[in-house]
Amino acid sequence: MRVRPVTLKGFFKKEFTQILRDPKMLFAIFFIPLIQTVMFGLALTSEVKNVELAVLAKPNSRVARDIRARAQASGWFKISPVTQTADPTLLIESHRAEAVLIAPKEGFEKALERGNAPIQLLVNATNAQRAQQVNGYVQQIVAQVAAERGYALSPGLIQLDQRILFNHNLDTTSYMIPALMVMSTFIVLLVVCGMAIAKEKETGTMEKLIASPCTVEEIMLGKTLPYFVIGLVIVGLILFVGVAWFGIPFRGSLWLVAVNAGLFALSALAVALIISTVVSTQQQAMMGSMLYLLPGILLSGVFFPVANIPPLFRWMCYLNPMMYSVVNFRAVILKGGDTALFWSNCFWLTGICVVLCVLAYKNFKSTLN
Amino acid sequence: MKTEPNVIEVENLTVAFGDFKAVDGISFYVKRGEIFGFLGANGAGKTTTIRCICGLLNPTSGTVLVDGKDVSSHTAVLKPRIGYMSQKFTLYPDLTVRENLLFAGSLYGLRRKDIKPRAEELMRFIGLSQHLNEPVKLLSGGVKQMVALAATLLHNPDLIFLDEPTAGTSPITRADFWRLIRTLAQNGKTVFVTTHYMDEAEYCGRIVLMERGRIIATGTPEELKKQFFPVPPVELVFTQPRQASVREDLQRLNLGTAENFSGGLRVRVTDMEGFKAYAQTREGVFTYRPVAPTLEDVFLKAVSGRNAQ
Repeated sequence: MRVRPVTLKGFFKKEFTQILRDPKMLFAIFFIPLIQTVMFGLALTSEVKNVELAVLAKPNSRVARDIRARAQASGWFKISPVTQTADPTLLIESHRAEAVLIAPKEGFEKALERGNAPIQLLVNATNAQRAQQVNGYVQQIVAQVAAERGYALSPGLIQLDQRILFNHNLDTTSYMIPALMVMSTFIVLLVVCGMAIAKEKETGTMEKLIASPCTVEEIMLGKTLPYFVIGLVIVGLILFVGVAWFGIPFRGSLWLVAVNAGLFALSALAVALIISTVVSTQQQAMMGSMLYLLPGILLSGVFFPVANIPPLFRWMCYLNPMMYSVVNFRAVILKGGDTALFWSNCFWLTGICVVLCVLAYKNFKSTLN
Repeated sequence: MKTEPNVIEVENLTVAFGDFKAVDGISFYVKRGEIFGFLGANGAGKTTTIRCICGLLNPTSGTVLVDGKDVSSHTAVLKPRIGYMSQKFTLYPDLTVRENLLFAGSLYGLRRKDIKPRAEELMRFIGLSQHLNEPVKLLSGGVKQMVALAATLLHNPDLIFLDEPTAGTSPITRADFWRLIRTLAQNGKTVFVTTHYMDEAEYCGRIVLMERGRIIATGTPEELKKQFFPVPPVELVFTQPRQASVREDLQRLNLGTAENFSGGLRVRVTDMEGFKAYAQTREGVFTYRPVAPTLEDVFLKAVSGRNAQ
């Protein structure tokens, strides 16, 4: 175990020179995360809009009228003109409505007075996530109308989704960008660092490194630390764009962001090292990264809440370093940070990092010898 | 030469990859300050042997000693003394010559301010100072190899391993390369060089011929020529239009093997008396004269001799 500063400095200088001199590399490292940020920020919002809503009630129901008016005004819904006698299931099957709110037999007014009458909501749940949001919106609107009309609602009838609490407008940009800080950076680090190591093997320059008195530790650190720095820069870049351009709230502390970023960057580089020990060309490194990234992203909570993943696969989420860092960034950036949760996540993340680094070190050492 | 100590001693070295023995029980030694040639076709086991001596590969069995120290247990001490120019191209094409040399130096723990004068001195030594700030990818093949040599010599090693340094370069570059190799040896460096150009092997102090993991001959070029050609080869020039029957006769009478060369045959005679008798029966068809054997002759004879066994 020996690490000479002169050698590390040499690696830093070399890696940065190579990256800065290669336009394709620069593009991959800095522009792809930026483009992803802009895309998720502007275009790929999963925010629910223009949902066809049908309200089935007696023609003279004032509450139904209010619900329709409020739903229309919210911008989330368009009201389908239907009669009380329409078959709600058929409405959904024929795509004439995505959600159908059905008044009880006695009417909305009586039901709300009693406070616990079942108000049925049918939602087209082909897209489960969207259905959940629609459900939330409808409940919210019914609650508002009821409150306005002076009905006392029994607690429990209207339940708001927990996740909506810190994202009042259900603004997906604010929700996505912290996750993107993890996802984009992870992708770039895994691919770029993995390929950089594979490239040394492929072109034969690794031979020169092994023949020199460089220790395994020096080669490992020399090939990863420059990318660690790059990872932190990318995180900062996405955060900056998110706050400055998309106006996401930044309620936490920068240093917590840095701790979380450091930990997941470390885990990404460890995975890159492990992949690089089993491949011998850049193409294989790319394939290896993709093999890890696809399930890694799907099971990270970036797109699908971990709670919605069946228990059979959920345990994999808990082995996924991305999952902890996504939760942490969302918490730190949007909420300001729940300290206990943050540090417990960091604890598990550190554990995973240690395991990955030890694995990477052992594999790297044995393949080099 | 004889008084110089052995710097490398290889005993019964075997390297097996699964069932395949890349190197099969070879033994040899290299003396300090000598140019040691390692000859053989591709796949003969030359590179594998070098990798063992440089400590990049652990032998399956046998020992490799450098200055009496076992390589596999003394890699940390030995590596700084070794300069290894791999057969693969080990420079970074996107970096300039200077940047490549600086990085190579940092691998050996050299500081930038120490490398800079050394790099300039080396580039003057190989006569390419003007290329110092050019990206390596823009250099010609020969210049690239020269720069790779400079990177190998940067930390001033006393044991220099050059694995096919001249493969695919022009005759001019090859001549330049050998001029440098001789200068290095004169300065007391031990140079271990592999090649499959037999004419280059003439420049070596001592040679080992390898084939399929085994050593088939070893000695100075002169010793090898004497050993394999107690009877010198003969150049046969036709005085009449070429006659194919001559070649067939030589083979049938078991007098030697012949190859075409411009205007005649080059015959590795095995039975001189028999050949002279045959030549008399063909008077007026060809003339002949004995010539000095080349290492190419030696190699071909050594290989065909083994294959005949």
